[in-house]
Amino acid sequence: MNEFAKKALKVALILASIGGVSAITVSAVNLFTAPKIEANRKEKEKKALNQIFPSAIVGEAVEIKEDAYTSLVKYWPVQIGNEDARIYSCSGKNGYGAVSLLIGVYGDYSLGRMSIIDNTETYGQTLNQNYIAPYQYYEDGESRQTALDDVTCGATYGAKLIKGMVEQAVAHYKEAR
Amino acid sequence: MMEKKRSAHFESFVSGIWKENPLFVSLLGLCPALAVTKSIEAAFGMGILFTLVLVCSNVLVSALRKVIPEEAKTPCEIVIIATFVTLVKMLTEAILPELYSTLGVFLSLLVVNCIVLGRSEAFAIKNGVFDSFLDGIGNGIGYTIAIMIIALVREVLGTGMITFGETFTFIANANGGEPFRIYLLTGPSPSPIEGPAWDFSMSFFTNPAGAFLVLGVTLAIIAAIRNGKAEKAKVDARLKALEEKKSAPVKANSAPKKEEK
Amino acid sequence: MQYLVAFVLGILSYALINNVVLVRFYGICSFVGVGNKVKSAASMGIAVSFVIILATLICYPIYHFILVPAGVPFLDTITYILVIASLVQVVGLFIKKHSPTLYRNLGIYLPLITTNCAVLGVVTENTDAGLGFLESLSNAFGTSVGFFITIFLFACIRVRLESSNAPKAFKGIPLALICAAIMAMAFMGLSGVISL
Repeated sequence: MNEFAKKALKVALILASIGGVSAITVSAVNLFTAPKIEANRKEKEKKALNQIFPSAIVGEAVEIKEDAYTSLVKYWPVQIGNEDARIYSCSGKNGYGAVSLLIGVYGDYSLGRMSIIDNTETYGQTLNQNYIAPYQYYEDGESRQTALDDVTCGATYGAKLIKGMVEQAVAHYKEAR
Repeated sequence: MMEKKRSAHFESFVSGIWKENPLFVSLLGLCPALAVTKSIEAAFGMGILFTLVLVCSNVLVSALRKVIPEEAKTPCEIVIIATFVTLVKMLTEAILPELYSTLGVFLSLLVVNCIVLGRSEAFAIKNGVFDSFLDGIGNGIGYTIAIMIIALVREVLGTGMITFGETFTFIANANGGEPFRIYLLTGPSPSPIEGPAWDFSMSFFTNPAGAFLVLGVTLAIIAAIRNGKAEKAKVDARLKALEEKKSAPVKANSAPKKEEK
Repeated sequence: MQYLVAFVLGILSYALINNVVLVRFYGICSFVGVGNKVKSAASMGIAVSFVIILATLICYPIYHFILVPAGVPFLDTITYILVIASLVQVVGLFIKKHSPTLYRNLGIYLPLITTNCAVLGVVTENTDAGLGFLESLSNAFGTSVGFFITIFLFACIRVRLESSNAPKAFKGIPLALICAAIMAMAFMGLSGVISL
């Protein structure tokens, strides 16, 4: 083999060995961290569910596969005392980013609490402060509906996205009943 | 000999913090400096993770510097840096998930951070392990301080308060569930639907345009300080030269006179 | 037809509303460093656009058809950066052969495209947000168009800044950053043009 080929082979070998060692290290660490990440996610979901309807019995999640409801992912049927309710998990995105949240809907279709799981909108902080925080402050369905409809808040497109998702959830519940 | 060596190490450590601060002097690593400085906590978290990646990659590149071939220098360094960034990403997602979601894409972008690649190309591949370690820590601390200064200005002017506990939730948990806030330019708001009693914050500074403005003005202030120091040094040197000229001719005149006599 | 409309709107949205340099903060080092040379700014815009589009076209199949089925999605950063580094070399050779003027205008900035946050940023965004193929492509095209517009405008502005009478401390980069702030304000006004 001439000199060039030998040198190229040596370089390729070293590069491949460095790449191989790094891949093995990363995979090893992934074995440790992947279960913890999954556990974190499940606990966050459980805490969010608990926050929406505290002291309620939450059933198993049901996946939503109808095409008409593009932002609904799944729902949990909930028992509060004698009444039925549902918690919907919605996720949607627009040109500014993505929002995913949990929304509780009572048996009489009035709105329950909202819990934000992910908010990667570019103006996410404004959305949080001016739209989501007021919604979460109210305790009765009517004021929540008013807060939901008031979308001019400085992050209007994010607010419209959230409003659309909540309306889809309520429509799905109405249809299912 | 030991003192000289120790002061040389100390020099490379200190220069990364002030004299050759990677952000303010060399103007590298601007992308995270503008993007994660919306809040002090995010900037602090980014600085710590950045220092970790820089130190680890510097040490490893320096330890392997005899093995890495000349021709494939850059790809090898890139693979080493990418490995550490992936490790840091996974550990952050497992241990501090809020910090992970706040930093977002910019944690992955540490791979192509000009500072990390630049230090490993300019320093770590030519110097020993301990020197590279100190260089890494020095640059990391310098960068962390720099982005924390920018984040402090942006957060105080933009939201009017300094919030501890939104990204590092263990602070909020220690404070009884609510983040700990220091109110500076705005009053506390009694509830989310009524605003605060008085509010002098300008939300412009949390916008992207405000980030550019704060960075530009900070760099201008630092340039003014350095220009002032350079001016003072020039004036001092000129004064010193004048002093020497004044005392020298007196000595030159007295010597020949004595000889003439 | 609906896909074409969504594609074009996506390009406009990623170019103007979520502008790569002024809103998402990628590619600032090259944005600030290209200085007042309009020709090299335009050349850099074109070269970075090449690299972004080709990188998306290559990395999307690699992630979805090689990494995910093999169960190693966490190796994406290492793979992407190696692909981008080799792509920049190949694109450099290609430009050198077919357009020596472009190569000369680029000068030292060609190897620096590897460390341009925009390229790795777009590819990582496509993976993290779980975008489909058409959306990833519209992200890539939009980012390229937005990057070219922004860097070209900025270089033209800086040509005029050179002969301005700025205070000594502000000369150079600080003034350029303040101009970038005003540009960012102008682009903020474009938000809402397209409601997707």
